[in-house]
Amino acid sequence: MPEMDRTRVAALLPLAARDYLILFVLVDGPLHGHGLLKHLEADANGVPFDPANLYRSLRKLERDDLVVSRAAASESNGPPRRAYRLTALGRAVLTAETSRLSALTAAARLKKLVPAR
Amino acid sequence: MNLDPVRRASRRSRVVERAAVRFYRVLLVWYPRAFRVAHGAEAAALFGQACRDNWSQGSLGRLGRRVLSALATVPREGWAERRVRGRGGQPNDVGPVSILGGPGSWTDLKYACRSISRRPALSATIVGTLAVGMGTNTAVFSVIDATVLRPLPYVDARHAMVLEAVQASGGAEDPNPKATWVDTWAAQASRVIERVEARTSRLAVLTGSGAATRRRLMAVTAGYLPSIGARPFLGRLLTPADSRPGAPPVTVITRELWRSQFGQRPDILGATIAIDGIVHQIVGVASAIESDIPGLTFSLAVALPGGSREPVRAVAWLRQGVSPEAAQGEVGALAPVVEQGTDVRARLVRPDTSLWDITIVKATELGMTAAALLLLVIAGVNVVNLLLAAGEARLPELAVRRALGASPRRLIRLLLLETAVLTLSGAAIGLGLAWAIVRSLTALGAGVQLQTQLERIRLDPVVIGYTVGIAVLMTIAVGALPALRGARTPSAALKESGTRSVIRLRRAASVLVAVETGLSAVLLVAAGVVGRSFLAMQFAQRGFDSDHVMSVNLELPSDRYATPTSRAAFFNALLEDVSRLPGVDRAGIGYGATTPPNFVLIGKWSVAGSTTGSAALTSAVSFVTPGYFALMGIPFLQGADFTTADLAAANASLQPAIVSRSLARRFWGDANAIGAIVEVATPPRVRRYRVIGVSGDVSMWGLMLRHCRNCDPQLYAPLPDTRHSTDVLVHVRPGAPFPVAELRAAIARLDPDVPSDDDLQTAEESLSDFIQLPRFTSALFAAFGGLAILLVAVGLSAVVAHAVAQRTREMGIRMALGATRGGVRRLVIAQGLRPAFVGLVIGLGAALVVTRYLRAVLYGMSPTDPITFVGAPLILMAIALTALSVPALRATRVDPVQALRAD
Repeated sequence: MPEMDRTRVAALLPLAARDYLILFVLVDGPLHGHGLLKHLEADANGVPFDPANLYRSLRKLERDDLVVSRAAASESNGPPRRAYRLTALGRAVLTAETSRLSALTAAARLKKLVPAR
Repeated sequence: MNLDPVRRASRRSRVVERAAVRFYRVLLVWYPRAFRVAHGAEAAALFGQACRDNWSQGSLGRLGRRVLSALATVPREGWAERRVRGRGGQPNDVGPVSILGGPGSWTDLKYACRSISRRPALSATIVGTLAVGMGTNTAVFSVIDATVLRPLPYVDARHAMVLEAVQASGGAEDPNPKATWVDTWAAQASRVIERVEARTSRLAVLTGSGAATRRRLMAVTAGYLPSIGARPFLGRLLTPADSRPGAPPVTVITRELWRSQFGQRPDILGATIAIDGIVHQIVGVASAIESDIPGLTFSLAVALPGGSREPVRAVAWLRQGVSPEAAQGEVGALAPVVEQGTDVRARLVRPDTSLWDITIVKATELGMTAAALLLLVIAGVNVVNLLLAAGEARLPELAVRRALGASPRRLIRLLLLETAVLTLSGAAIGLGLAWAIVRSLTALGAGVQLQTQLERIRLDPVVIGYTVGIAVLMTIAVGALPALRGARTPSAALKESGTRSVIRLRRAASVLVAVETGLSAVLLVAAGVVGRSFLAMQFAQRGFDSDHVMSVNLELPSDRYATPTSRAAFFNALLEDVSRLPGVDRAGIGYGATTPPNFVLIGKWSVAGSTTGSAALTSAVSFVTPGYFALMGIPFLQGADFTTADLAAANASLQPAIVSRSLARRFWGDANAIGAIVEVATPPRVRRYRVIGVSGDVSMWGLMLRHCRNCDPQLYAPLPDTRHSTDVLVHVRPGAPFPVAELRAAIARLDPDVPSDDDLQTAEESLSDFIQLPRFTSALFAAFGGLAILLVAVGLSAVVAHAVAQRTREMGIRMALGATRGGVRRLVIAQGLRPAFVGLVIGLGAALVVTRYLRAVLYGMSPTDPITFVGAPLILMAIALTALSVPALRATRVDPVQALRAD
């Protein structure tokens, strides 16, 4: 990773839990709103995720260059749909955040907060 | 229509989807417009799809949860989005809720202040009116707050409960547990009770610091004083060490006692004072020792000895998060204490906070709350009227703003901001006013029922919060109509002459004037009835020679006057000295014999051998010596005074007694009562009295009660023994001054340790104390009535003056066409008086209903007192005429030529 990107990544950490989940869902490939919502809710055991809130987060992530969106073919008479895709920076941030979290988990394990594997 | 099941299901799920989308779009108003435009449709569609999925999968629970979660999440997040945008965002997107906030409001605030200061007279009138309305309300609220909402001084009062004792065998109940039980129970229930503090209370004689004095003292556990908010002003409060056996006796005195008994000497710490003959060292001066008993003032505190067997008032503070019910359950289940063969259980009760049980206090407070609210409404109506009039004059300005592109919302905000600035200024002045009112109420005295509470009133955050709350409400109530009217201004108003809207305003103004006059009539009539009732009370027949009697209650130190003989010797010597004083013609002693009497006998009264049945009755009881009735000037209707032989029978099972006319009528009507035997059952004992005389009524309770003819039942019994606490009664010759100083000197000569500084009062003085609450009520109502009149005068004259100013041109034409000055004056006055008169008639009707609720505070006065009902409207009309004369005069000064040229 180039030096400049590393500082950009560091500046975006730690990631809000909601943003982390969104980036995580996008790892497997681009998704539009409906797909994102479905995956997010599936990951959260079906706890409903608020759509407007999803777009709030997506807009912020897009502003930070973590995702990019492009207009997708909309259903016959539905509203315009956008598909969201993870950027390289987004992937780097996700990786960095994951290793930060796993370091935290390791520390927690030492303090016996989570069972040792 | 026949659809196959699959198609029907898909149709239904589409309906669900559409409904969900619509629902979500409505919710999205919480988000700023920019966000709605960019993502609203997409988000709503997503929500719809998700709901549809839930529906078609049959997971209705999930669907419900989704809707609920949207209801909770969208407003919160939308609001957060607005705040993020507000800081850097688009200035014009104000949103639905930010009428008074949001971008551009700073500029608008500046506009508002400028436009207020451009009309100083009008603005001052509005602020003054609002200050009166809100000030009186704040004052009344602070009284209610101190007496009803937090009548007890406990710190953290929400968690405080009183720990009482219940005797399992149902014997005579003393709810005050002994100190040792309290310790046991508190230890056993430590899971729910954090701590328990206890106190006892008694009157103590203080000597060794100037003149002997009798003050109320509390013996307390170490934590009690901090728990009632006492703070050391000098030195310290009490500590647990002070309660240990063998600890040196120490005391903490109040600043008041420090001032009055020690002249505020700086070396007070370490000084000594004898309390009931025992020397205590003063270790601290407390700011104040708040009383939890209405009407009692505490002057000093000592430590409650550990392991004391005295009955105490115990206050328990519950642990955080423990509900009163849970604590009650836990404490009720504690093992009982066995005391003299009976089981005593513990019980937690909420502190008996309500002074509202005292009917007259409740009536007084409800009355003043209602009066204050009426005053606030009158003030509000006044202000609406003034604002409408002012708005009328501003039509062109508002039209210009509108034409230049201000949105109606922006105009509403501007006008509301102006009102808010005015109401908040009014609130600030009103707070000062409230403080002054409370001070003067306290100085006036509110009788034992309210005085200690009044002295505790502070303008604390709760009270200030209340005022601010009122100000906000007033802003909306008062500002809404003028603001909406102002914002509706079409730009066409620039061209229009405005005649039509002026006529509409005049109608609105008339209605408001009528409302205001009506409400004032109600207040004024209430004030009149209460005031006249007080006067009637003040000048009522007392039933005894109240102008020439004085009394003092003396307390002999128990250690030195242990026997009845020694006490009798003291009082005989004193009476001998006193009857030789200049002006004194008679002197005597009694117990509970002062006016008003201190003791009552509550029980079931019945006449032996009579069929009239028994009655539960409360009667005043006085213990007197022969010569009492002559001294007091109380007449005899039947029979005669006690004799010395009767004194000997004072301890017999059948005692001689003299009853008052009220009591006699109750049982015997007009028949002869002499020789009858009365039984008073006060379980466990029954007292028996043989009536030997019937005396005239001494008007006491009758002073407080309405239409009371037979409500002063009083029983006089012979004084059995000379007690430690005895009343000395003195009658002076007509015209002679009361020998107050001489009496004190005589007491001090006989024994300097007998306090005589308090309770030395003439009968009129003590009666005057007795009727303090009614006086307080009537003063309050009189003040409210006066303020109401003032507000009506201001409102009426301002509205009419404005109307006259609007009609300058019309007046000019009238006068040019030959109308006389008198005619124009009559026209203006008639048009102003008409709505006032209509309001007055309606108000009097309302007053007929309202004054009925004042019965409880009226003495010897019908709630429909004709003098008041005639007088109050006359006063109001006179005020209205005076208020109208100024604008009427101005109208006649219109110069026709000038007026016609002006437009």
